[in-house]
Amino acid sequence: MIEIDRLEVRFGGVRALNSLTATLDAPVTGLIGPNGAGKTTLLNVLSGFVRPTAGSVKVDGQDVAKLPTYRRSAFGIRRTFQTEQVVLNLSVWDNVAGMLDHVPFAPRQRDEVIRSALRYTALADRAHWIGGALAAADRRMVEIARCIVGAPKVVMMDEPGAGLSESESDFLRKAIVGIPDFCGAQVLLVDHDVDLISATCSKTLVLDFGTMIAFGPVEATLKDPKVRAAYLGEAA
Amino acid sequence: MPNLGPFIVSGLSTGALYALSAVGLVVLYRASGVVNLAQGAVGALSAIIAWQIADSGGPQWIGWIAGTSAATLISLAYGRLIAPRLAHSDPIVRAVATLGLALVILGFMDLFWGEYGRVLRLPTDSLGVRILDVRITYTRLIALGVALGVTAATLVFLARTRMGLAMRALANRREISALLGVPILKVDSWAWGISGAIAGVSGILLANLARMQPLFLTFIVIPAIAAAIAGRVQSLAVAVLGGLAIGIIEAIGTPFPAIAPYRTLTPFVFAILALIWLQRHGHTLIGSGAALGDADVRQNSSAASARPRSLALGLAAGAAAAFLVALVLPEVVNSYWLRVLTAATILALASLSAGILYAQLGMVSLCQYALVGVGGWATLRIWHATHWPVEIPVLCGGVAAALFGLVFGLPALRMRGLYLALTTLMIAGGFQVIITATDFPDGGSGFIGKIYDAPRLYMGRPDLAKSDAAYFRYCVAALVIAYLVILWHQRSRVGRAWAMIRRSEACALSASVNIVAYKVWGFALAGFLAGICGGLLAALVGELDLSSFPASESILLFAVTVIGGAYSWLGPIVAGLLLRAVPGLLNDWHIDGNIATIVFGAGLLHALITAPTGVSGQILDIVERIRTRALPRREKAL
Repeated sequence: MIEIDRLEVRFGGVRALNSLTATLDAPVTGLIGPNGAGKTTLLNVLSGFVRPTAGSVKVDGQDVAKLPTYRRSAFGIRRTFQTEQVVLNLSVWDNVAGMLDHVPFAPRQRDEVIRSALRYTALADRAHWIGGALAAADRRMVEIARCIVGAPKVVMMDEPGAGLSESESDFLRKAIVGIPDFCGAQVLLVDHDVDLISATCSKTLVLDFGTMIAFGPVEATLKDPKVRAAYLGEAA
Repeated sequence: MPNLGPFIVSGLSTGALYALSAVGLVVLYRASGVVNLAQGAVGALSAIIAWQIADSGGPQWIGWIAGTSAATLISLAYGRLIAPRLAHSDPIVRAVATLGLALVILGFMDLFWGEYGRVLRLPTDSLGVRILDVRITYTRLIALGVALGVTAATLVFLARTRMGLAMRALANRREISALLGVPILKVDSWAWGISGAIAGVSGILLANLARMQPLFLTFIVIPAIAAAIAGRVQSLAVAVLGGLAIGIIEAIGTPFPAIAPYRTLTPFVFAILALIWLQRHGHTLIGSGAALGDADVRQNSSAASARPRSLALGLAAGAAAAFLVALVLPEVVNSYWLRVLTAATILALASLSAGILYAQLGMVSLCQYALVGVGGWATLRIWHATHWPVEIPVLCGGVAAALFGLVFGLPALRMRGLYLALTTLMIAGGFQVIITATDFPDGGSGFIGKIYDAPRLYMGRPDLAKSDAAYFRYCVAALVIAYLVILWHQRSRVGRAWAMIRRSEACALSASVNIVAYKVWGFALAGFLAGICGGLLAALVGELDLSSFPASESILLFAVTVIGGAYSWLGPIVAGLLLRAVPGLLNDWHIDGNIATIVFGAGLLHALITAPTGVSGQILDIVERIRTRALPRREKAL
């Protein structure tokens, strides 16, 4: 459960997030809005890359502001990036193992955990490949595998669907929907692709200019005239 | 209290020249994103040309014009021909590449003119005015006037002209400015030309006011960098004030005998304080967090590397090769070459230490040879004081070098991008100052034993390895152990954390890697290896020479590490051979050793531009190709 309370982020004079209050409890929550709406800023607050000017965010009751940035993954806040950040000269296995190195974890189950995460992301047969030898879609999967090992609490994905082919996109959807069952984590999904959001999320939060304009079940929210005006460009 | 007036005045004019150099650095960095570490070398060349023309009886003014034009042209040529090839590299790579230019110019000057102290006279030296009871020569006034005038002109140029506007645009976003129609090459060339001219003028004036010596003038870039750092290589005003402050503080120390020998440490101390201040106040830093990620894409682009290599097989082959070398070499080479090869083996350790930082962490350290000196000195003194078995002093030397590096490198390790490279360059310069000031106490007994008129005491060798042949084998064994330590690191969590840090800060943070801690560990380990290298060098000869640890050696070490190829196991060995065996060969063939400096400088540029994996990468590629041709069936089976 993610509790966001009157969260505000300012960059100079620009308000990237403006008094945002919401409680995200769905297994997969979508986060949509036009460019510059503050979606990635919200993810950056959670992973500690951006300090909020006011307000707080709690994950499972823990105020994340009290955790130093580099502790947040160990605590359970994981993310993938808009431009993937797979280490190109490490093997797929080591890319995932690098995450477990810093997460408090029983070392005996380590190999089994990595193996099952790689099976989940269909990378098991390429575990020894170096990151640089993988195709772009597979690197996305490596990032997801990194996120789902060692008791994650929140998995945040920043536009994971960009540039994927149809079959790759299908596999991604299944992978996203399965994450809560696989490892117990809640998923926070940022994407422009409304199809992807409707297919995977049960609730969605819509941002526009840093302000929440709607939040609720996906179907209903997407039909909301305010959302259609801001996001889909229709006249209200 | 002595009368400080004259010192403040002389400091003000030297400081004005530091400020002028700093302005040159900032203008170029803002327009082209290059921190030009060759600024001092370009100025030195200008000064020596001016001296040469005056010395051969030509009119002085022709010398000044020729020197400044040469500086402008060289800078322009580099900016036009070489810098564009690196325009898309990381800021660190772009800065380090200019060291290649510095080495080429330095080797060239040493080849033709040598490192003698000369005097460059200017007609304004004998005329002067009295201000505040201090006689000031016109040269000093001119220096101050030129510095302030050029800075003011630069500010006006950047603020008021179209070219200035274009430069400011480039400073913000290169690609976007290009799309908007800013002629990048033209603007770049202007910036390089201006900074070259500034370097030329300040070189001539500094040669007159300070000292006319190529190496000294080359490293005059250090105070300029310190001043520029204080303004984040962005602010001209801070750079000017910083330069003046460094000059004055340096000069005020002169009348105090206790401080005087150390006063050239001022820029270093100044820069460290500036770094700590910048860090406390959370300013944005130079360069992005992402380090040298490009190189490994290129390095690993061949599909063949997707195939796992057998670790056990590689280890066995390596051990067998080392064993064979250790067994056979001492039997087949003469005693001179055996010593050369021993030194090459030991220096492979130093290159390994610079190489792990560069290849594993994407950090550039330009002080590794100074750390070799620290380790060597600590080893010598601990051995003379205790006469313990050699291994213990050598290990202590390693620890001493690691601590020394950490204490001074820590403020930079906490920051991103270029700062570590710049700070370590200053550490190398600072170490040179310290050993000159303390006269490198060695040769006597006890911890601080300096011998002046009695015969020097020599350090002994390990009990296991008294003869030259045995000591060679001993050093090969030490190198093998160092490789194993590094290999273990690479394959453990440390190596994975390093790889993630090098990929990007975001990548490392998203895996809960404590970036500073792992950088500190890498830097300490590298310092330890450098220290061990120093200890083994000390035991090879029995003593160390004060003059063999100038800052330029650290730069040379970094250059050959990149040329050798930091990404592969073979690289450090190639680098060790380049450092010791090549000068040995040149000696055999009666060729001037300075040629090697020029070749290494050019080699560094070549490696950074076209061959990031260096010589060893190319050798291993050829081996790989031969192997794939010889074993076509195995390839198919995979």
